[in-house]
Amino acid sequence: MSWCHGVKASLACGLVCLGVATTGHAQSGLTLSEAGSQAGLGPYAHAGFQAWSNGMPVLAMDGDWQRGYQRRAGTQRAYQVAQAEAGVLWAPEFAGRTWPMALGAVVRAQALAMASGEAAQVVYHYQSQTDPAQPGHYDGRTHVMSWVGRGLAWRLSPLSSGPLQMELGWQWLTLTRVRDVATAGQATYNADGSYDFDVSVRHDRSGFQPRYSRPPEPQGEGASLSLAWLWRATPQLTMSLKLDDIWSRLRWQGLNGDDAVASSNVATRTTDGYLDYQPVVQGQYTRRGFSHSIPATVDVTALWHAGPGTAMVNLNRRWGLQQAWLGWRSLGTWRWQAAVEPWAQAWQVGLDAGGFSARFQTDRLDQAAHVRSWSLGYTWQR
Amino acid sequence: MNVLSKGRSVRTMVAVAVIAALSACGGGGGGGADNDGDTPVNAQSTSSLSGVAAKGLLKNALVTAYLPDAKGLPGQKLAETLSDEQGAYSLSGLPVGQLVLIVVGKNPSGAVTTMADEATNQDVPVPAGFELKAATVVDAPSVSSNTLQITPFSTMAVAKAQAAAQAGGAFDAATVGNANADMRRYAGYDVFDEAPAFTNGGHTPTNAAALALAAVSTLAKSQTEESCPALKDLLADDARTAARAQCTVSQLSTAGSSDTAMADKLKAAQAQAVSDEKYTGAVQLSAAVQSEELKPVPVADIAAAKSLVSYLRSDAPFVVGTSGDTLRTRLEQVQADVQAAINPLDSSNVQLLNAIYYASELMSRAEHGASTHNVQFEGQGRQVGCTFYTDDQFETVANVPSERMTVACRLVYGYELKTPAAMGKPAVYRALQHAIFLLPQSVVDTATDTDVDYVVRTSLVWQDGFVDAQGIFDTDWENGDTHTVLAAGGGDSPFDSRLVAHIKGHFVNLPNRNDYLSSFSLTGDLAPGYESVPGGVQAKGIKSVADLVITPVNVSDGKTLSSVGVVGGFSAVAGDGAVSSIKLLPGSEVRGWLTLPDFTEDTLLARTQDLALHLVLQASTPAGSVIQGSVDVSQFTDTAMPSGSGLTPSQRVGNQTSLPALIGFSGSITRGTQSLLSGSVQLTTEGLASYDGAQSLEDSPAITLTLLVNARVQVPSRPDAVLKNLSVSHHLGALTIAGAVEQGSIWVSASGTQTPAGVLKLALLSDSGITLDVDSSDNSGVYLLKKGDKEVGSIDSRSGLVSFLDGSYQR
Repeated sequence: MSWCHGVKASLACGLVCLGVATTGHAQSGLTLSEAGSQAGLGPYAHAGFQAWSNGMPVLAMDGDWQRGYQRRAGTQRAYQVAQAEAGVLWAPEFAGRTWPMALGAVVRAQALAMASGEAAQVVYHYQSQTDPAQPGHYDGRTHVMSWVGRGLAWRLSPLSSGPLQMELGWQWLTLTRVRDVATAGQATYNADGSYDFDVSVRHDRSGFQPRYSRPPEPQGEGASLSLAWLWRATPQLTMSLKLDDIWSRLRWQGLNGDDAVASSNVATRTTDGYLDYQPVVQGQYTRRGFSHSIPATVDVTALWHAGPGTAMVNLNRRWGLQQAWLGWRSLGTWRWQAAVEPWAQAWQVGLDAGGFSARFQTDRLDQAAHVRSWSLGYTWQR
Repeated sequence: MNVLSKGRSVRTMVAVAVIAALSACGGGGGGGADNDGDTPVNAQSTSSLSGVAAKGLLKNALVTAYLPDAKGLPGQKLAETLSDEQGAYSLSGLPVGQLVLIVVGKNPSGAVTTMADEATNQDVPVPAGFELKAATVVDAPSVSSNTLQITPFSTMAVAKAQAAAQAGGAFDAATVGNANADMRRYAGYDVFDEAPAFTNGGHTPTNAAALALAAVSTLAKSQTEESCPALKDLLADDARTAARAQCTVSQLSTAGSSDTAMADKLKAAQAQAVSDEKYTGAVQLSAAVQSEELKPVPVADIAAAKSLVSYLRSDAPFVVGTSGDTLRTRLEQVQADVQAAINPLDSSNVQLLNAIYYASELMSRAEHGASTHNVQFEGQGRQVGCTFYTDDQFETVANVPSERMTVACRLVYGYELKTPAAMGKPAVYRALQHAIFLLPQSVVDTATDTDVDYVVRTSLVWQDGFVDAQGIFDTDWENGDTHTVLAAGGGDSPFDSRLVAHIKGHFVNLPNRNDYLSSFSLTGDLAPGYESVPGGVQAKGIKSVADLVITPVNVSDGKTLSSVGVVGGFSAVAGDGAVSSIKLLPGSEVRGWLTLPDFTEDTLLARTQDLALHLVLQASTPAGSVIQGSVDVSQFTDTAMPSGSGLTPSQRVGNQTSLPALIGFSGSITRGTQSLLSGSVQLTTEGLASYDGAQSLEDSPAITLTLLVNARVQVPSRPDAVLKNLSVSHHLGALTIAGAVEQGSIWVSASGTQTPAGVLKLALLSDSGITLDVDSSDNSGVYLLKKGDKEVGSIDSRSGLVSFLDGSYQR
């Protein structure tokens, strides 16, 4: 997980952030580093949060959706990710060279949501207590997954000198909380203030013990691999590619949940002509194995070092949502950074000083924002 | 007799008891059920099964229902049908409560049976020998929709049940239920209930159940000639596709739910199908490996518990609903109908009839020297005062019996102060009265009997007058226009009321001059009764119409009860012209020690225990309800009112006849084609002998009121509810409930109590032995469904969640 932002390369503490002016994504990734003459042991700590959506009020999903909701014909996506990591950096000697590495404790949490545009519209009307202007049918496909895990993070730079550098990171996680909800079906607005619906719901979650079911397994496990490359193409141009969670696995055996069908058509007529009233929800408690992967994050950054500062172009994709940042960072002891994301109309400010770094980005300052991110980090420097 | 107030008590008791009893069982909401008017009455002993036959969708497949033998092989054929183009089938005439085995296979003749293959987007001919199976117990249509999807998964369940039977068990409801539960756990969803849904002609899954079947098709693609030898002899692509599917279904059945390798293959195939089909919906197939041995699940008990819950849910809208056609509104309607039906014979009408009868009897005795003025009290402060006149203008009082030509009577219901006493003048009151003016038309008098023909004009008036020291109201004739007409059929004064009726009577003349009526008929228009309205009283409609024949049957042997027969009709015409009528049919009578002519109130007071009223009636209400049946009122009891209370015998008789210990109705109340209630309703009042009248019956510690109902109630769009010995007892605000309800194929008995504080404890027992104990004082709000001591489900009254031991739930 990289919360290292634009730190000058070649720090003696061990792992070194190579001056990649990343945009502060709270993502599981690597700290690009280079091997050098570093020696000794030093601490590092990073924490950050990022929320991003393409139409849903990602910071106020339980709000009234009156502000911050943008209707989309296509799929609505949103995520919130958070991570905190702290540990030590060192660079042992082996086979005639140094191997910069880091070992720390990590806590991660993610919530990822995806819904058809129509399903999001239904949620909008529900949350805002409004009715559609016209009768119509709504596709009810949604998928929400969230998880919380903690564990160890280990990073290594097997290739840490020369114009091309590489770093890999590995996380062992113990999952403490998981939720996986998927719906499918259709809702219909009848233009008279009433709705019909026929929706199937699958809802698996940790800590859930329905009556007549076995206790759920207390925890799950997870692992993640991240890779990163840094290429100093010229003294002025630096390019980086980071693949966070390029391989991952989240597993939880014996996760309790339920499968249910919710239907507004509760009155059915039997062959004898009588009416049977069915429950609105009919379900079956389940006990399944949860097996998912963490959505990978791809991050490409180009830095152009010129004159008084560094220009930056950054492209990022996670959970089907893209970001494209253009930015500038100053030089000196206090290194200010500013960037904009024109499509999301978001902006970012940051400050690096010594081993400290701070970032904040958003598209607006209230709860109707579609973009919100912050990060704080410290990397020990000799 | 204060029937109306007692009727309200009955209604309240029933509503409170029933609603309180069942509201805790979930469900609810108003009525709203439509009623198409052709709801059948009797439950059927057969039912239908329906669903979808699919590996992919099986089109034109032969679907056959069998009674299985002990090992799960097809036995007696019950029904067969062809699936349609959507794979849907429906089998009817299947025996309720029986285990049936459904086999789906190739149609041997006619339309070609095809199978949609999701993996190849082909419809391929079904090969000979290809079979899907499913087994279930057929429920009554009133408790289950009997949905059964026939798929490779149901086939796996049948195979597991057959294996259990082969291992020494039996292919019975319990084994099949266990196997089906095993498959639900394996699949992670209800493979028997959730219908697969496809688009693109059955080739593209659109829900989780369909995706699970697509996974089977994907799995089939991996079949080789080694794993599926049938492929060796096949060249055509569609035949090879079908053969692969057949092999896969067979292998799934053989592997069953306990094969880890097969479960992993199935999960992998599902993941592949998600990708291949670009499926974006919910994914439910979990392929969770189960133990080889069938896990025992009390399937039958769970099914019985679900039936009970289904019954409560389906009938709760009617039972606990507050609007639409619900039990509550039905009881209110019955109450209103009864009130409307007896409206013509309400208290003031009865008093008017009594006064007319009295005036007639007085007139018949005129020649024998009765007093010029006669005042008769009856209970509750009313009085009847009569005066003889020498002319038909009611101007000259007849003091000499031989000069008596007419009689005028006033029935006083109550009076109020109009002008206080002042300047030596007495206070003036005004009294609400029925005025009665009786004019003989003909009198044929012999030594032994007399036939009379009277005309009677009646009106309802406010009349000014005075009240003497004895509380007798005396009309103030001397002060000009002292009356206000409330109802006189258009006449300006009581004398010229246009409400005219005829009386024909036959008197038996006795030497001691105690002549008595042996028959009495009253025909024509009468003044209406009165009713209280805000700010005063008003006439209750325009008029009443009488066509009554009263026949006293005098038995004076001292051993046999006498009776007074009452036959005929009586109607009340409301202000808007609506007519409510009651018709008393032959057999209607008052029985008791009415040993006329020796009858006195003291005699009656001493023998009220033997007084009984039996009315055979037919009544209609302005709302269109028709009431047919009989009303029995009996067990009149001398209350604990002290003899020194100052009440006259007449007043005590009045009180007692307001308090029968037993009121019963037997018959039917219908509206249009709908039977609101048919059967008997009986209200008993215990403890009257100790009742001192200081409190209302409901509040008296001496009194226990018990409503006993044995009746059939037509429920909208539901089977009739038959209430059997349903009793609700009320004592000082506490209710005791007992009885049974039979509806369709289910029978539920109930017993319980509710304290005055509202704490309800109710035990329900179904005919399947499922119990549900409701205790509203239990803070958890969770009530258990049990079979014997074993818990098979629970109802969370707060969340509305109903859970069952097999992991299924409803909300």
